[in-house]
Amino acid sequence: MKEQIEGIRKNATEEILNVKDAKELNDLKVKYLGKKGELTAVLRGMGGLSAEERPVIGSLVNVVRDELEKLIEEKENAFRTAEMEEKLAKEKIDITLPSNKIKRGSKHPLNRIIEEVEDLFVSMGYDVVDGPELETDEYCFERLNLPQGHPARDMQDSFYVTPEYLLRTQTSAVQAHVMMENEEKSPVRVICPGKVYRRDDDATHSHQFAQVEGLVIDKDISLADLKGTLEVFMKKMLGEKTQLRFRPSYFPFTEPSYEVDVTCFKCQRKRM
Amino acid sequence: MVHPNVLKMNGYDPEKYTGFAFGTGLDRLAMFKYGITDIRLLYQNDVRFLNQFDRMD
Repeated sequence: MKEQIEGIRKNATEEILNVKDAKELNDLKVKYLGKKGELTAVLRGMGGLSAEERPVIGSLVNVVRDELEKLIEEKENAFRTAEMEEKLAKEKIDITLPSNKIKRGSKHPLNRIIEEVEDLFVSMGYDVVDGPELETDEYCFERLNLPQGHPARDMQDSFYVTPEYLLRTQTSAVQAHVMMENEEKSPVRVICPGKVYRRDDDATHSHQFAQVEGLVIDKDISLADLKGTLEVFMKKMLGEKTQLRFRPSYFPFTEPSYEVDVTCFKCQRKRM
Repeated sequence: MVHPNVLKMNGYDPEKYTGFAFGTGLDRLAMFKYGITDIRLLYQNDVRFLNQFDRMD
């Protein structure tokens, strides 16, 4: 029996040392140490031994079992390490590769302009106000001195939604709101940037476009104030060399009325 | 200058107050400032157009 155990020890040790992969190693583990393994079989066969022999053989089996287990574990660790190293070598990440570019959004040019205008007027003490885009005939026209049937209504090619409601043709509609909603009828200094709608469509006219409206009401406001304000406005937006020209014009809601020409920001001479 | 009728109609005393009002097309301003030749570009949201304003801040 002793020889049998030594034989197992010799064979197993040799086989384990020559094992090629983790699966083969596992098979060997089952073959020698498993429930139906060779060493286990020896233990089962101990029933036929004498009382003196039993502890000797028993302890020998245990020694061999410990020895083989240790050997197997070492081998297992070796395989695991090798596997890890192989993986590391294979899955190397090149951290110097340029990354995918993240696309950033940007402000729309029109919003840039609106923000610039708002900042400028806020710095001069104006409030920025907002009004409805769907406007009543009353606020868009009547309260601005354009009673029904007034010929100047033809100047505006309006989008009427119902006979009473229309898409506002001008931010001037907000003027009436500002004045009406000011219950103390105190001085006013506001601008109102916003979308307006007209029945136009070509390279320089869009059916929807953006305006900014300014309204100042106070004691002793004169044309000089308007001129000064517009001059600052245009110079800040288009450059300090910008010059303005006031041309008499007609609007139903102002008297006197002017159209203002601005020198071309590129050549400073041609008019815009 | 705000028309006295407008002041009166909206509750302001034209004897006491005067005012001015002005309006400007912001699209025009944007076109001049950035050299845009077609107003429709502002409303088409073509990314090739919008991307050109990417680095302006």
